[in-house]
Amino acid sequence: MKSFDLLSNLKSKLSITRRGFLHGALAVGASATVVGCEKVDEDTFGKDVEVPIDAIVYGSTGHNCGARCITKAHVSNGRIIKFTTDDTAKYTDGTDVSADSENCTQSRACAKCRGYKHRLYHPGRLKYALKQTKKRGDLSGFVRVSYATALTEVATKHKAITDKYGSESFHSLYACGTIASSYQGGGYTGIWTGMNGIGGKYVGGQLSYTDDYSFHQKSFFGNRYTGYTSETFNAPVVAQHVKNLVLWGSNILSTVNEKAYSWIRSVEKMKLRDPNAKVYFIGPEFVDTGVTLADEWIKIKPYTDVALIMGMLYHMIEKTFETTGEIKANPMLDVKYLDTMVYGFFASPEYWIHIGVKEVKDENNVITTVEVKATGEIVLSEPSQNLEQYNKVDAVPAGRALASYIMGDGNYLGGTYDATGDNATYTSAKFISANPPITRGARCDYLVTAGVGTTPYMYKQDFTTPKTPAWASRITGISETKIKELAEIYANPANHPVASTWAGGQTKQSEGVMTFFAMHSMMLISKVWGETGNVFDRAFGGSRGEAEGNLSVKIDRNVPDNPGSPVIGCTQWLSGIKFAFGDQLTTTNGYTGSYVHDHTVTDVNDRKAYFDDSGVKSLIKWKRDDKGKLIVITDNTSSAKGCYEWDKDSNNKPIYSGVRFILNAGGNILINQHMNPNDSRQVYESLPLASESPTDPDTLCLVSLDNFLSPSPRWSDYIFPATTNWEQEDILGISLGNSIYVPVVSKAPGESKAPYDFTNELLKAYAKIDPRKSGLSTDFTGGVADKSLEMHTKEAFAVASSKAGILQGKTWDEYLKNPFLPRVPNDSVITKSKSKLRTNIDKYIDLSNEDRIGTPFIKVDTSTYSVKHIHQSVNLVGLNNAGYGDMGGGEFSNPETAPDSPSRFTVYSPMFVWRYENRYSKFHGYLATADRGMKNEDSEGDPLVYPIPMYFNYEDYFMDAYGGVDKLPPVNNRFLLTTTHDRYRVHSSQAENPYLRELTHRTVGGDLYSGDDWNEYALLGVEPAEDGKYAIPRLNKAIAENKANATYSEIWMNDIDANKKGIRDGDLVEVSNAIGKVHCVARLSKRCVEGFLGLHQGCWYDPDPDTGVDVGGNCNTLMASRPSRADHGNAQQSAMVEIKRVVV
Amino acid sequence: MRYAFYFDQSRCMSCNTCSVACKDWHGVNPGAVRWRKVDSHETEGGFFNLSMSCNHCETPACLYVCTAGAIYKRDDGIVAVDRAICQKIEDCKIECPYDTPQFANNKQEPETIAGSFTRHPMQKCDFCVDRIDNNEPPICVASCPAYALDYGDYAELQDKYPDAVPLTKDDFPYAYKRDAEDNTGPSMLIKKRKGLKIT
Ligand code: SF4
Repeated sequence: MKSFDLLSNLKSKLSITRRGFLHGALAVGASATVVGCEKVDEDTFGKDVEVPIDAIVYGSTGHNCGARCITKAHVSNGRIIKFTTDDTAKYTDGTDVSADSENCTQSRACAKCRGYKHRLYHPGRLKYALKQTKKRGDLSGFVRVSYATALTEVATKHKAITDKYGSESFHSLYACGTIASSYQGGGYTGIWTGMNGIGGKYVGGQLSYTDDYSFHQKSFFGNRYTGYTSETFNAPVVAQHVKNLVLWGSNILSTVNEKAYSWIRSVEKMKLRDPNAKVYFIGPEFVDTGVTLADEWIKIKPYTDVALIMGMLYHMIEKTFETTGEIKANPMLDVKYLDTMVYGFFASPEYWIHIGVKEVKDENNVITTVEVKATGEIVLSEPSQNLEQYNKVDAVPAGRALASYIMGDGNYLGGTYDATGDNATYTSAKFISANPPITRGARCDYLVTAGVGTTPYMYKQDFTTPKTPAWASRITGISETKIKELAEIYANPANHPVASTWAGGQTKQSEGVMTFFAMHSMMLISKVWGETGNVFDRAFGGSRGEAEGNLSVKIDRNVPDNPGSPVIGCTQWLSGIKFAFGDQLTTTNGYTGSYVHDHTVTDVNDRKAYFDDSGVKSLIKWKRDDKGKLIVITDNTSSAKGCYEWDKDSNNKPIYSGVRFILNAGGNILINQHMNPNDSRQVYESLPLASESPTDPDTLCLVSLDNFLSPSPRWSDYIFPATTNWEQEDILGISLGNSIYVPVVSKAPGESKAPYDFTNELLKAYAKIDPRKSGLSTDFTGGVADKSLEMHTKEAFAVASSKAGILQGKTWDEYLKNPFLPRVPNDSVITKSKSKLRTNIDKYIDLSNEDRIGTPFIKVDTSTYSVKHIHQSVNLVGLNNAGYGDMGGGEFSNPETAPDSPSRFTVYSPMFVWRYENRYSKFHGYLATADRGMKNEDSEGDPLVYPIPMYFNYEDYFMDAYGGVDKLPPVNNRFLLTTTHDRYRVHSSQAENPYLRELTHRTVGGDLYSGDDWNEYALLGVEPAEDGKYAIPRLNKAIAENKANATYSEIWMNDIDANKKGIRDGDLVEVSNAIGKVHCVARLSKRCVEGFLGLHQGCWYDPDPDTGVDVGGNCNTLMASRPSRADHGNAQQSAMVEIKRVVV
Repeated sequence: MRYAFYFDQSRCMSCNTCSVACKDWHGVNPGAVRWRKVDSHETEGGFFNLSMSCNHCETPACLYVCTAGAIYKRDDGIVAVDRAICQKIEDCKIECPYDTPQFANNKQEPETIAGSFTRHPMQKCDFCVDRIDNNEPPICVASCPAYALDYGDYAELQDKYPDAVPLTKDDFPYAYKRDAEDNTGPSMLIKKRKGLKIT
């Protein structure tokens, strides 16, 4: 029996001694520093709250910081006075907690959770339901309404809109202010979410979204286009095996606190094991992760990773082939392997490969199709028999192969496949019989319709330019020598295993998808895969171990299914609003479109979906069968056969649902965290208010649930005050241990309610106006009206404590005293191994020359994984493989036209192009055939998406996004700006917290830590005065009042650049581009490369009412609306700006 | 007994958890005063994080110049201030080589300390005597997610961390005020971060 040492170094006993029936105003009174109105509100929903008076209580947080750590609230006199963190000394197996292990799971919280006191008791907390009565965003237009009235109006509006436009017009916005818990979750995994939350289903259905703002590009690219998969990444792998750790911009130590120590300790051990082991950091801003871990910082200009990779690949090719195309004596690349396994690096003919067929049985278990095993046989002309047993593999034209793009002018690639030499394989033996013989590559011949001399697109001018290390050096700023050295690290097996990490920043750049495509390709080509430690992932660590004592709390519900509906990419909802209200977003109404330069107001009026379209064209009202499913048109005479059937208005026109009602539960995407707040603001301000008539189905309605009057609630129609952790019961999954129940520890201000209670009350309000909804609130709370989360948890606990396990025999009070059980680390030795596919390919390559030529690779071992890995998952699982990351776009009207898989790794992907061009086509039956799918065409008629990874010059994106080359910042004042996440905000959560704010904000002329506007920021949540006017005009009162102690967000800048611009450390600066203007304070640092500015993510948008300058320093104010290439995600880490000192 | 801090510069990620935990534990309001400061220093050879509070020196300059007699050194080496006696002469701040003594303004310290001589007496790290006397580590040490901080008797820490070097101006110039002398015998041991190659 394992012993469990219950740590009892708690200073005082948890004592729950006061049970009170608290009304909102009383709760306010209990929190002495909360200012504002304290009159009793008869509409406040009473709630039976248990309040600890003097205690130490375990808890955590629900915000989306990437981790979930332990904090212990020290409560004195009913108020949290300080926090401590986990100090567990023994694991549940009785062994000592020791920081010697890279798997140490003591869960120490970071500054964000240690600073929570000033968030909870912030004077600006929202207390009452508010309704906008003038114009969205107008602070003087908010009036306090009773919670019940607000709920009724919101429910009435929702019903009116969805009755007319269908449930697809309701969008529960991506939000992550309360992410960790599906019980109280404000968004994301929670009750209200666009993915699988239940709130929307209870109210009749919703338009869902896929993926999130953080990793859209990475998720979109997935792993299926190339077939690359990473080996396992964890701290012991680094400690025990990795030789080179290459951090491509990683900032994990700042962004995932739970993993930070694992990284630090495993890198220490890696170097103890091998003194030559190295950590490289490649990035424009030397973030804290680099400062702590790196041996070498390779400075790179932002957004140029793909150019670096192309330069590295050039070097690998040059070291493999003679200029004539012959293979060198000691080639850097393994040509046998490339011919066998990597499709599209070199040119290849059209061919058919035998993939066999799977056995099929009918409902009576009778075999209707007999299995035929794959032989891997390649034929160069279409087989006359059993065609269904073959995949047709598209030719890779000589001028289009990836190697041709890299070499540009065709040099080094003139050689043909060799069927006799040492490098011959079965595949090359087949290819050589093509007539005329296939050369490995040729001069790059991707079309430039306008002509190379005419096109302003720099990437097109470079098609035939050799992507030499010198070329890459000019673009990236990295020396040629270093580029070659990096190539050797990847291509030379003596340097393996190489673990590479991608960064969140890369997946939010305009060309982030290309970065993933290029990285996958580079690692496939250089064979950095299939062996322990050869990894490409975002993060490792904090993870190897088992947790015990998880409480499984299940609330029995009969949640209705979401009706069949399109699914849009998570960043496309604003485009959905424009699609809905295209006819109203006119210049007369105030929408000038002046912040969007690649889409005109006329385009909006004509309902042309922005950037065609990532799901927005699907946002019309759909027909459904009696089960709520979408109906596919089967009529052979219809040109829309294979598409879904749509609803029509009296004029036989489609009904534009778009996005008309948004519930923003605990998020700040609505304006702050989405690109281009200036444009969003114009949209909101030019459309009529929801509150004018709750029964009117034709007005936009924005509803926010929040703790503060942060920017998103500010531009909403209705605001409901929300509780946060410590003020609501919740079950939170701790990253390094079990899930814990956190009771209510601190009373929330005013009428604040937890999402669970808000939902319960909203469903009750709904039932009053719509009898079909009666009973839903009771179902939501688990079949018993108003049953609290605490009751559900206690019941689950009773079950767990009566069963064998770590909770057996415990009382509820004992559990509450210390609910946290860290995972028991698994420190076992990891044996170095190869994946099955790698084993087989290595075996194949070791075959004698003769055997290799006579044997298709996939026949090497018929029982092996080799075919399955590449082949079954593509072909037999089929077109709908999740690995394609379609973001809801994988609904094709014409799947039969999709290209087949080459059954190899792929660095040239016809599927990548096909999927782009056919996404969502099943929803496009109402459109002319030419308008279905997504148009793969840029302004010159050339493709946006190519089958290979390419370097798209950042200038090209900015030219498109800002409205022309002449709209770019002047060449002598041109900076590239990114927005890494520092560790003092969670996206934009806690931007109001003075303990954290002072670490990133400075007074003008002030030094570090000069922040001194405590209690002068984010005070808008107080009740409006009797005359409806806000006493405080802005988020930043000190700036509004021109006070010397006003602070601005720091912007990081290279000191040499600053010198040239006459900017000193601490100066107020204006940073601007065609999209917006912000004010910040300059922080000069050698940790930025020249030409780069770092404005960290998450400050709150605070436009000056007169000048429009965002004095809040929100980086997104500078981010164009134009989405990233291919995935249409957010490109919110991409901006080109100018900077100047502001004289104060 | 000589209480001292140990700091592992190769582990510190300048996350400020220690400094925020310190402010929170000691009830220091938001504002410029912070007993423990974290900075990432840019010097020849790279970037060097330093988390430092009072170094509880062997021969504390502050103590010797304080004419009010507000500063004292305990038998266990902890240098403490009796805020009630402090007359805000501020010589301690001038003499301390590390700029440790701090004085709040009205905003950060709105309440006058009961019975104190001056509105905003000197404040600084007290090595968490409340916790030490209760057998708990200082709050900064207990908070550090990177396990970069430790505390204990100076000699015992030297044994425990043979790689650590004493805090000196030669090795860590950025820890000192520009013209400060290095003669106070700080009770601080540091494991140095290796240099960085920048290419
Ligand atoms: S908590 Fe630790 S890692 Fe963070 S700044 Fe302080 S000493 Fe450094």
